[in-house]
Amino acid sequence: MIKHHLNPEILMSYAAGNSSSSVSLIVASHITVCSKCRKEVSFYEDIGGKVLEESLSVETKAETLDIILSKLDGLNSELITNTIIENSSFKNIPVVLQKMLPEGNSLTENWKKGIGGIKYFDIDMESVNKDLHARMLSIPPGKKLPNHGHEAQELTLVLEGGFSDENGNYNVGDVAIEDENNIHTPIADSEEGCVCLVVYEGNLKFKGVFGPILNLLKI
Amino acid sequence: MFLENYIETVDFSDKLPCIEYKQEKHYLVLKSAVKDKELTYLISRVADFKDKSAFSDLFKLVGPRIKGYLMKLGSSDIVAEDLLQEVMLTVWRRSETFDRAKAAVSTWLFTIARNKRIDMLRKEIRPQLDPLDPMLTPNQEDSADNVYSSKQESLKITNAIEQLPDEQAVLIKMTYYEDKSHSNIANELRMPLGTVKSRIRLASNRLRKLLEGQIYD
Ligand SMILES: [Zn+2]
Repeated sequence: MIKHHLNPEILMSYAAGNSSSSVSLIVASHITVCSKCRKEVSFYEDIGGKVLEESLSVETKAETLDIILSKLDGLNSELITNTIIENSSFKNIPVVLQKMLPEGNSLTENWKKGIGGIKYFDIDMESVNKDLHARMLSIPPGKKLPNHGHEAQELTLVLEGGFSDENGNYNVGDVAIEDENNIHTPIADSEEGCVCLVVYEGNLKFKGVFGPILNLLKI
Repeated sequence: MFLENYIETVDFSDKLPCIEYKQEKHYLVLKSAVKDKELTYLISRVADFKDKSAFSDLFKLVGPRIKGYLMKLGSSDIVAEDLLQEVMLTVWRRSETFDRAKAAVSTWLFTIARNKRIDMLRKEIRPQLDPLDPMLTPNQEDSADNVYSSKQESLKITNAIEQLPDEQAVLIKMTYYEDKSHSNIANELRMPLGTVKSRIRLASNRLRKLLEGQIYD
């Protein structure tokens, strides 16, 4: 049961199409497992539909339809196919995120070793904006992180295990939204530890839940 | 629903002075009454029979509207034409996946146009929900019929936005009509990012009340 959700402004921005690629990744992953936020995204897409529907018509060029018709032959229909990517390290993560990870067994090899038994690797968002970061993080069971605050927004999605902080327990599917006003002392689940996806926009520093660790593992 | 029986007289340049509208002389006055139902029928003809004449009718009904939408969001005439072609080719290829129980025609077209804009203009990947992901949790209980009918009765978005306080309305317009991210909005309006977010949050609650008569939380 998901307890910690994304907020309306993040969901609206995703639906309108102006969230960054890394925030879109965390939204798409969360709404795969969260019907509440998925329904909210549908509502914001309906607003987009209304904006389209209420737009003024602009006459198309005379030849536009013929050009389109000439391209139809030989164009296969695009039934969205079920893409399950065999990934030996993670079976239970959303397809949208699996697609972004290195394929097959190579994932295990892609983990980099950090301090205190923490493992991590960066996801290549192929973005022109170098201020966007998406990182997979694996924290060992019971690992406690030091007190810390934040300067900007950072989003953390739990993929395996979980963690707790002053705001409660975060389990699989839960999202932690960190901003400048929070102070945290997160502790990874005592049995399973925690695997999570962390995205951050802005300066080159991670300052969220696992910010201190991310900063020690500088890119 | 999509192209209702009203004559377009709205001049958006009044309401959104920040956007330049260059091709005003090409704006059409649309008088025909076309229902969402008819568009759904045309899409089903394309899906089931690859019916090019149904596809052509669909293009004539929605093409100019999609082009107008793309230009409203800042595309030039040339770019809007290119994008429109891409959108219509995707409509052809994806027609089988359209499910009216899940989305109105306008919403479906919006998501296709949105994704094409991002692909072409931002040249950036956009991670998206996979509708066939085995991990997908079931939808919430309320029936699709109820959702759909409540949407049909609802206000026009322009009217709903007018009912927001000005300070919130401007942020919703920048989000949907100008494709601005929160940080773009904050920079442009010289407003703290937190204020942008909290105002959008207030506006989203208000819009849900206005458009759906309900609050999610
Ligand atoms: Zn949620």
